[in-house]
Amino acid sequence: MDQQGYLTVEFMFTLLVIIFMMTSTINIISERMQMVSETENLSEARHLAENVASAINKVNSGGNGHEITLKMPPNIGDSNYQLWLNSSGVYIESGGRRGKATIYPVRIWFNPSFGPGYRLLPNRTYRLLNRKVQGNTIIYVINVR
Amino acid sequence: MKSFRDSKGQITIEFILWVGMILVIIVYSSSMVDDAHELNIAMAAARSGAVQGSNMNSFAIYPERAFLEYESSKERLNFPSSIKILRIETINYGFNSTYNRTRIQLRTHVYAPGITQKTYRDSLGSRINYYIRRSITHTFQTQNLTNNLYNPAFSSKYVFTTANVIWI
Repeated sequence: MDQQGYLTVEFMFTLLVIIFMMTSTINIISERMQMVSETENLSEARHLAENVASAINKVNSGGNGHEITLKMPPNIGDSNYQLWLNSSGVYIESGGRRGKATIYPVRIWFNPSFGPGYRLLPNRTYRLLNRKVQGNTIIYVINVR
Repeated sequence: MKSFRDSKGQITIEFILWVGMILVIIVYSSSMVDDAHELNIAMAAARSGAVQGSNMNSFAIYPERAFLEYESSKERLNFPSSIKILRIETINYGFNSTYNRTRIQLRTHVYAPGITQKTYRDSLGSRINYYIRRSITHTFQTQNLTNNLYNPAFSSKYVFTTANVIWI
């Protein structure tokens, strides 16, 4: 009669080995997952800074009246971020880490009340506008919405 | 003539001998297998950490303090660069009585054609080594045994140190 159900010794032994393997590798798996997530954040941060720098360079080289509209993402991966720019580059900070994408040196107009360098806030749209004033090229950064 | 019934199950002496021998072998080799398994896990963690450190160097996104230092004196490091981990070598220094563990030194071989200056290489190499030690420490949950720089990093039976990165 085989109505009560049986566990074979082989099955129990295999189960034991699998549990042992799982417990010993679970930490390394979690470490790898964390590494992948951090790499994704680093990659997105670099990508965003380079995108903004590239847009400024395009507006700069496009000449008087050239403009580009930039839509900032709400966050980087699952982290908040801060992005600001000055005449030498675009700075990004996310999760306590900071990076810079360089631009061709150019004067950037920003509202001085925002502090040193213009901040581009997450989830906002900005216009980058090239205007020639008294022979000097100035990139205006205008908050659209 | 007496007949033997076979309804209660029997095992042969030969089978018992084999099982006995296998058990003895398992008991003797289990410690060795456990050591090798632990070292294997540590090496996997080291590789993971090395990749993490090299990714940070490649993307040139650093903790704020390092970023400010590089901006003032090592500007090149704030530009992205191609960095590849070739291999991580282990050197076994045998049992260390101070730590009561076997001491292993990890030496990482890295290829980064764009980074040639020694001071730049030192900075990037230190970061790779830091993340190697950190990854090992987090994998074995031994934060309470080590210091802020995770130097040295511990597992149950090994203590890990890192040598200067070898640039190829």
